[in-house]
Amino acid sequence: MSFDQLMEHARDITDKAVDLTAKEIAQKKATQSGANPDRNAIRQSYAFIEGMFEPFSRLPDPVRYDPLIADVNAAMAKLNTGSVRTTELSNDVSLTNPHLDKMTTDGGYLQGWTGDAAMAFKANFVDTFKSIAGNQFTVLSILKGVLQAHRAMWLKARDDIDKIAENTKNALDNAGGCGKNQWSFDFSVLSAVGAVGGVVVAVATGGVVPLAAIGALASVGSAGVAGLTAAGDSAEKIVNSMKQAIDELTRHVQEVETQQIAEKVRALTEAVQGNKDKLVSARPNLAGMNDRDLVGDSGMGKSD
Amino acid sequence: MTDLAERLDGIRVRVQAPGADIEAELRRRTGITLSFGESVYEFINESALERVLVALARLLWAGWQRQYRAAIEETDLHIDADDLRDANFFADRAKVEAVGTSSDERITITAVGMADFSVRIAAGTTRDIPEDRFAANAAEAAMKVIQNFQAQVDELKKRYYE
Repeated sequence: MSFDQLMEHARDITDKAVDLTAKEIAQKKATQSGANPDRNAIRQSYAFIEGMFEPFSRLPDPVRYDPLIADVNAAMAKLNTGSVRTTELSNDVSLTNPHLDKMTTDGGYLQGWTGDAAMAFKANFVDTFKSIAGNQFTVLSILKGVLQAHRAMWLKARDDIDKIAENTKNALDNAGGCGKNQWSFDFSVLSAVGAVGGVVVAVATGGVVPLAAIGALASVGSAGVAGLTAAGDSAEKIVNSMKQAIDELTRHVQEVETQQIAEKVRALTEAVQGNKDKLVSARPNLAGMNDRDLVGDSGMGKSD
Repeated sequence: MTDLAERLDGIRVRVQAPGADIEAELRRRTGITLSFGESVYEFINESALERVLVALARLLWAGWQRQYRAAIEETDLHIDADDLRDANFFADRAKVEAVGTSSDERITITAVGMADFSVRIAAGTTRDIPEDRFAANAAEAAMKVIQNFQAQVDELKKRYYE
């Protein structure tokens, strides 16, 4: 089965449910007296089936997340000093950006520059450069993890609804046989965030951006795939079980999005807001200095 | 990909009786046809024919079960016993005795749990009715035994699973 034909599957389910119900009524009436089953009335009673699948046929396309993830990847590549340990989120950021090395091999360029400004520049910009760039890299890697989790959520939601349709059809087809007819509905969407196992903190060397809370959330989604199992042969039982599965899937999608993914975004935003000094270098004193101080020892100082 | 219903409807089992040129075919779940090799019907007596039909019934059921399982394995459905309820259902199903008799009442097929078959053919049948009529009557009795078994299992399943 495929997600693209979801509404076709919904119509098939309706047809099969109508057929099975009509057969059940006919069998019941064979032992009583009565007219043939009213198929129009039966069809009417199952009109809700297509309506239940319709919102799922409009789920966002996971492929649309790919350009966003590629953009974040490109930004990560620019910030990659090689100082942050590799995680699942950064292992596809291929190369360390060599341009950034010039900032960390300052000695040769700046050896002759002395004075307050020179010392401050070394302390505030050169010494912290790897940490700041690394922390920015870490923040981007978590942002990428959130995008990947959201993409995985829609992908799995599509798989789950497609499987619900397929298993319902099969259960209806196998009803009335001589053996047991048991089916299950699984909710892999619950593992969408956990599947992005790389949503963990990549601590920059020497950096102390406290993002542990965001990383901890990654385990929430890996709690397992709860499912529904039912057995029986009547159209009513099979369709009710399908209905329950769709209701649960809807709830799970909402939970994953509003609790797990939104929580990550909130935690990331708070971490960035609360740690600006570790993510962005301090504004240089020189920037607001008057001309006289700027050329003095407290300003640019002198070179040998 | 075809629906499971189409795959099940499409199951076709063709078997030959051991040691006799008599074949049977099962199509579309309950449709049975019986065919005899040349001159076989003229020279076979009722008791031998009963044994042949029992053997064919066993082979058809085994063939159907094999293809049915193969079709189910392509789905996520589960048809085997998992718990006590299932075990009790299968135990009760094994005791279901189904009977199918041809309209002329010459041929009666009995199946216990669709595993233990017996066939009774009225004396003088092969002499009194021609081959094609016998084949049609046997097919009718076979279809009825399947339907009777199915109807009883339906009731049993309602008790266990509804």
